[in-house]
Amino acid sequence: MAMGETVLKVLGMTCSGCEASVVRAVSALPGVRSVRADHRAREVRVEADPGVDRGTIAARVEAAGFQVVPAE
Amino acid sequence: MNSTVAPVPPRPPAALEDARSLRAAAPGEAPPEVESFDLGVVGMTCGACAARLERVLGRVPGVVDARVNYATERAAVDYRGGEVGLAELRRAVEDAGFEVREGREGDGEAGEEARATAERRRLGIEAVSAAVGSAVVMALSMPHHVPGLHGVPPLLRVLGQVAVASLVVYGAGARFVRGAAASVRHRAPDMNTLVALGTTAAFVHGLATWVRAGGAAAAEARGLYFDGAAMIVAFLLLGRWLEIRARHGAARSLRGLALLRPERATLLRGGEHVPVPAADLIPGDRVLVRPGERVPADGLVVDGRSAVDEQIVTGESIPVDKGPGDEVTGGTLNASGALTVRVRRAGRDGTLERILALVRTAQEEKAGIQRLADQVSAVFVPVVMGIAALAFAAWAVAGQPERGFFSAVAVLLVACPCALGLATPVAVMVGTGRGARLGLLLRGGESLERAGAITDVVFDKTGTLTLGRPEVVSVHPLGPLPEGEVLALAAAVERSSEHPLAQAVVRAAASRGGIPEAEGFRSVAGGGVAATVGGRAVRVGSPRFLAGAGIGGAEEVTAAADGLAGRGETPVAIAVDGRAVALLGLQDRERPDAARAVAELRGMGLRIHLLSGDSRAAAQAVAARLGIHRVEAEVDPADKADRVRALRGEGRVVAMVGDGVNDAPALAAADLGIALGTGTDAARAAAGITLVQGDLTKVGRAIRLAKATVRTVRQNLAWAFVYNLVAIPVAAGALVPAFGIALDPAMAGAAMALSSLSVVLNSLRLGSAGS
Repeated sequence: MAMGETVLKVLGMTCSGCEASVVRAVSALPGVRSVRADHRAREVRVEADPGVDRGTIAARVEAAGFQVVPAE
Repeated sequence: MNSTVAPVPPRPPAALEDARSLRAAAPGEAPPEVESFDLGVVGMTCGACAARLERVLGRVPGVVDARVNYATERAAVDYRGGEVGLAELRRAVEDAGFEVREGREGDGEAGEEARATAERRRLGIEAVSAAVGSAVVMALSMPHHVPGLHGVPPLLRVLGQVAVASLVVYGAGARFVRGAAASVRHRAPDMNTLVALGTTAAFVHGLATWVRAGGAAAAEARGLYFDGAAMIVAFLLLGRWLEIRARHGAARSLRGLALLRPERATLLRGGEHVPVPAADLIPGDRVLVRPGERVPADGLVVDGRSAVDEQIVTGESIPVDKGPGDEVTGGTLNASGALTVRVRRAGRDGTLERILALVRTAQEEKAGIQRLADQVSAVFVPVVMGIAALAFAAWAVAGQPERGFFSAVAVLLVACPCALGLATPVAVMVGTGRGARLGLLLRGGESLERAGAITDVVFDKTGTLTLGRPEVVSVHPLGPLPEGEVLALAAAVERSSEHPLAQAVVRAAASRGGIPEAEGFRSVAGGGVAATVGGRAVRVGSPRFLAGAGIGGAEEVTAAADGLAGRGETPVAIAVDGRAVALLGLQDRERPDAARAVAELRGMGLRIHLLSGDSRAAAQAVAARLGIHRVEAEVDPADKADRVRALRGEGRVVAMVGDGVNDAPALAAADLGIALGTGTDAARAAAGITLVQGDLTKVGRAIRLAKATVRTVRQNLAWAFVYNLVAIPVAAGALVPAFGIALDPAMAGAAMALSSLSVVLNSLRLGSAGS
């Protein structure tokens, strides 16, 4: 597999504007192919090259002011 | 780290490498100045967006404080100059997923106001030119109905339509195209996407029809429908223009709130008076507050005596005497003497700031209607695009790709959310106009959203149900002197005092006859005044003051005073030649129209409450006279909002009527806030409706008008929805197989226009509502 999907639980999105903020923030990372954010499911799905790890994406989401729920 | 700045969060390594931040943090150097900066922020769609941006900005190293306002689209950042610059702040905003508005930054409230006005004017120009352009295109499309156009060659007429329509759609309507482009980038289709698609579809349809007809003359009879594309843009711009006018009114009054903050302070530093911005004070500072100035921050009086007018915070109009050891609140007005105050809470922690923050929070809780619109368009737009695609595919499969194309265009046109876009602003505009004629200022649709279901009306007492100024309501002689003479003597002494209680005594005496001359006036610390009137030594003051001054008959005075206080009256004692002669009872009287207003609301089936920061006795007395049974007294400003929320928690829909800064959080927390126009800016900013003349009998009328406006918005939305439900399938060609009924793009556009017109006409009925 050349690409991997990362699913993050993200708190703090309340509307489609918030979703757009997450998408914009994460899309700016090099190697990210697609980002989907869903405020009702509190979920962000990221497809990216293998070099982009979960921590990098999570840090980017946190930097935008959202809260990432740590994976159990 | 210097003590005049707030603690800084741990600095990430990236910032440490920044040479400027290393220099600024170097020990022994002068502390960097805290500077303020205003940024316009684009892209916030809800209150949560603003809260999040506030957090992100607050985390930037060097930032001391950040306040983001969703309504004004503005971020105010306090930062230490040299440690962080505009570039870093801009990057932080972009990291959070927003954009910084380009242009004049840092020019504060005036610049923001100018920007808002410019935007409103630009929208107005766009709307009007789009309307004029549409009319021109329409005239060109029907030369037989317009005298003088018949002579113009057909080719010129068609080219004229194309030119003017493209100016309207892509010039005046450029904002929709830009919005659509942005929505594609975010992969979140919205109303802009639909508008851009619909108008472009109409445009392409016109060109296609013209080309297919192979010539100008033939095409004209078929209807090119460039005027449809132009009209859509004109209608929508008109809706936005009306909307922005209502919204900017709200934003302006929020900006007005900030003006209540004390700006400057006089810092006492080693015997010197140093003028500083009030925002720079920190706990422990000693400041001088001169008479007539506002107290710059919450603190304790360490020196001096004065009467302080705390109406801004407590809503009570009678100044409170303050001396060493007493607490004073930032924003209150020092009425008489100079005070030295040691600051205890400054800036954000101050009482006034906390009240303003409560108002903002409560307003953001109410962003519900926006979320609903977001959710609707998040579903509506993709569904419409899907149906258009499906119609095209189905007809193509059936071997009629051409019909498929026109059906898809018709779907996009008919679904163009003009009626949806006009439903709220037009109804609110007509309702607002009607309100203005009735002496009511209505603000925006959101603030009226829940007005239709009001069950409870909560009144503030002081300044709302009452006049907010005390009057002499009873005179109790304790000796042989008659009432009239007692009043005249008291008034003679009180005439030199600015105190509201004193002025009430003077008014009462003046209405009964003359006031004799007094000499040797002096104000006695502890709540009293003394003078000589016609050779007699007269003292006037609180019963406690007179008792403490060793006046004869003190016990009798104290007992009678307790009786008055129990009835909600403020007692004032009078002594002549060392002997108590009378007590006056003063009270803040009800407005003459209060009883009628309360009775009318009760007649509408509403529950009436009284909420007051005043004493239980005073609140009960007013409530009893007005026939209000639900009374809560001694409630502080933050609690007022909580009481309103508690009522709402019980499932009641609450209207709050108030006038003071202390009422503002409750006004914002209520389903419908109603402010008295004679009240404070803060109250007006927090309320959905302002009664211009402060006429209480208009409360019932305001509620009726709000209900009618909301009902009209609902009817409009329902109509727009039903229209789409019916028209979209027809446009897609669903009736063609069974009945042969099709909707060509020109008819779809006309249906769209009719739908918008019906929304406008329905809204106009509001013009006679609420009478």
